[in-house]
Amino acid sequence: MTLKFLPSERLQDLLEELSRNRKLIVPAKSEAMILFQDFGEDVHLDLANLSRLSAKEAAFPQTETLLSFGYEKETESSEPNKVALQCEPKEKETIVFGLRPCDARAHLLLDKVYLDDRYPDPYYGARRGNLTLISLTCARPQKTCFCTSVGGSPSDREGSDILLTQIEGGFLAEGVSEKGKNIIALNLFQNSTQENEEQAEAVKKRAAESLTLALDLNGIEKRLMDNFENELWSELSAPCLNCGICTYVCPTCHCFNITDEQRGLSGQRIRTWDSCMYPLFTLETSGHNPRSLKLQRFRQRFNHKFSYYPSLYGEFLCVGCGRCILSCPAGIDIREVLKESPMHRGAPRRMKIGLFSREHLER
Amino acid sequence: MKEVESRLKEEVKKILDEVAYVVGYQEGLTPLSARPLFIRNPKEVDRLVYNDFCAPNLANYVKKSDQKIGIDQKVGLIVKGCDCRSVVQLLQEGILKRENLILIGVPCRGMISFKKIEKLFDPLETYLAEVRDKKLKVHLAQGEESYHLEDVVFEKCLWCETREPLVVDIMIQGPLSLELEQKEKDFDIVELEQKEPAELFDFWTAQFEKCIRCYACRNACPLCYCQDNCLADTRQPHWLGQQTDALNNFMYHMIRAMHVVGRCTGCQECERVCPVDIPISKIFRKTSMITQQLFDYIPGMKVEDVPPLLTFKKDEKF
Amino acid sequence: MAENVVGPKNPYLPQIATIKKIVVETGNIKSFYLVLNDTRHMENFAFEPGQVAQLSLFGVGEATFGLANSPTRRETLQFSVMKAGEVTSALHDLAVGDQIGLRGPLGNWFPYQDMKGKNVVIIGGGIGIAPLRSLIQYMLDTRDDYNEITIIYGARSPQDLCYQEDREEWEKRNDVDLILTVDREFPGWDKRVGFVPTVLKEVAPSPKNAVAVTCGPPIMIKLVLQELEALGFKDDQIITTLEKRMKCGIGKCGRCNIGPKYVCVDGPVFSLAQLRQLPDEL
Repeated sequence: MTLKFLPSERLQDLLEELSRNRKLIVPAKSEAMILFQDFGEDVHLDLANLSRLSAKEAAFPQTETLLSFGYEKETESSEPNKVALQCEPKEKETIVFGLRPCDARAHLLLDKVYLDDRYPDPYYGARRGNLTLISLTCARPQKTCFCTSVGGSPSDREGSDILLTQIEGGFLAEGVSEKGKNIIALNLFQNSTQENEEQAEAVKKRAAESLTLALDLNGIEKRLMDNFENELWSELSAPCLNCGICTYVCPTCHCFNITDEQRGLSGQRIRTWDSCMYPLFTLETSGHNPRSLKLQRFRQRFNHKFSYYPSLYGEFLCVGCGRCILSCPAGIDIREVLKESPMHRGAPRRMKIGLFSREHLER
Repeated sequence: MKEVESRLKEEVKKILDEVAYVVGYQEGLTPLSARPLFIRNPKEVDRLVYNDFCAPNLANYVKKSDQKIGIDQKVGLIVKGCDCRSVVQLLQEGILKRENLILIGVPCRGMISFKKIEKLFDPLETYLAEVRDKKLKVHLAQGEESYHLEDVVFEKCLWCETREPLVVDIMIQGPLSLELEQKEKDFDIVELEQKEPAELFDFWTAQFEKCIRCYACRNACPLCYCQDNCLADTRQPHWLGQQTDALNNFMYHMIRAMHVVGRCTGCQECERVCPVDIPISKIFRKTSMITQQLFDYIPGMKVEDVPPLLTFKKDEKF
Repeated sequence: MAENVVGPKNPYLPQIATIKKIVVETGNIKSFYLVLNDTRHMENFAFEPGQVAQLSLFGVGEATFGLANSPTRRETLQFSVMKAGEVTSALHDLAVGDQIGLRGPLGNWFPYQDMKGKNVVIIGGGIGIAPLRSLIQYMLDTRDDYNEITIIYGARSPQDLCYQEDREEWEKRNDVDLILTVDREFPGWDKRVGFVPTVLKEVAPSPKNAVAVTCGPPIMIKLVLQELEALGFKDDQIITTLEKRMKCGIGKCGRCNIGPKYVCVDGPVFSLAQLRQLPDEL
């Protein structure tokens, strides 16, 4: 680990240096919200508060083109038609500065899906390979934070290229990856002192101690499966509006749609964020929908995060950022679902819904 | 309000046997928020709250449930004056069955807007909140602070004309006004209309660029009930692209505007739920202003009314 | 626009294929015989019976279809498409010579290796016969590897039965037992009448040293499974292939899961024993 110190007065210089010939994204205040925005003169950097949306767009944009196509003639034409394709995964060096360690770690969870051995995703891969994450120790976790319950911490280095910790007069910078070490080798950084390091340790310790909630997620993967048909899902999902907020503000949700958008003879095949909360997500051409009910869609989100993903990759698909809790218009709290949910309320009651007996519940 | 809450609890207990459940409010994440509560048994009544933070319009939960409550099953619903207009509108449109609803009216003196207080202080750092002496008093880490109610209640509360629900089975009496300084109805829209067209277009383009197409506005709207057949995400017909850009987002919101025109009761749920703070209700309220002028019709006022855009008269002229 | 070189590096990029032949199977099913434009890719297109591919109509979208022919008969890649949704309707409007996109092969396949030396009972209904045809052709082309082969195939009416040429071949051969059925009596129809599960009950194949492979509409599968169980077939002797709404086909877009299994990469072929391990969300 390489340690350096960045004086506060050199922060602006650093950001300008980092934005040279690259895309630099920073959390900035826009009206009442913090959003990740392109660095520039009019941007009001805000490192103190949690951004409304996560930083996942840098690697997984809400809309991206997978390929362009062009027809030789009108598709209605009666003559045989030819089509040509073009595609080039975009590669632009991008730095996200000032994201929370939880948001940085989320990228590792996305990597497992998108950069698997079997079908590595070239679009995600191109972006991810060119992405540098400079995160900032979360000095003041808020009421909705629960990173320590899902394997992270307010000063987690996992997934970050550099971890900054704000201390007196500046930031202690830890170079985690080679990319990060190269950046903190810049002249803007000074050698750190023992005092700097001690202060940073104190900040980290204080932050960790402020997170008092500890969810008991031991064995949850199996417990969720054992309670798949527990009636409690119906109760828990009742307030849900089935909007996409929780999945769109989430740094780890990664489901998408692919659609074609055509004008005239040419068009694009695009990939856009999608959500397991939407009925159309799983609606089949025949009209059959394996998740036609709200409770099924609601259950899918929690099961995916705390049972299916862990069974495939050995980790929860959640970093505990708490954004879904903050933004849910119906006040659904993921911690409550996990804490109070089926498994803690005695023997499962069975719903009359299942493999081949659900017809009477279909809409 | 504490008295209202305890009387409400008593009334809810009385009807529990008759209904699948009663939809009410419970404590939310902060002392300044409340969230829906589905009450099935007397024990759950203990969690029921009613205070000045009960903003959600619960009318949205009838019809849009897996069990189709209010249609196939009898349900109890706690309604404020404005929420009740949504129910009336749904009854006008034949979506709900009156005999399957037990409406419990609650008095409302104006609800505190979470979005407005977020701009003033951090609600997550609030330990206690109450409305007293025409002020919102909150206990923050740094001590007690108070805010003018005019600055923290929903805009709709500043011109509210239906503080008392119009159609109820049980009414809980209580304070109906905070004696706020009333504003002219939809004054914010009148302000917006002062802008030049180009300026107005820029304003909305900037707003729609923020939109993440989470469809919360649609799903929270009691009057948006096309569900899986919404033009916004179905491909048949393919009216707009899935790209989240200003143009396609604009189209999405315009489609909604066309569909709620002359029906929107101005409950502002769309705006309350928006995760990126788009003042979206202005569009729907503006279209309603137009239909109000054209047809002399205010949505959600009388069950017997016929919504002007859901009917056709031979002698109609434009 | 230059035609792109398609490589394994981009699993989202379809290869361009040309429609060589269209067979009108029934009133709403057409079979498309495709050849990849890149001859090298066509030669190297290795697939197994039961695998699927995504067909693309650029501007409309993609949809998943099972390969309907056997890799032993691979002059063309064949897909049988029932007109139902957006993509399938647009496919039905295409003509010989038109170009479409193809991504595949995707997913797993029928465990034909494990079926060697066994009696195989194929039970298909409606368009569900398409992926089964690939397996049937394969077994007939490697006939010595299998014991008795029984095919029970049903459709609503005689006009709704696909693959006339294949049926004639299967009927002629004496090493395969073809049982056809339609839902009700039709003039000129002298074969069985009744739903597939009912016919299965009448035929009553023995579970001894046998494997049953079934595909069809969900309600048919449900009843067929019940009948097979009644006949004494064990969960691991019953194979089915599933259909789900799919987009990416490579286990990322998140919609085709049943519990932790993705139908696109872990399926579409499952044994009933495997399905029993998964949550009830078909």
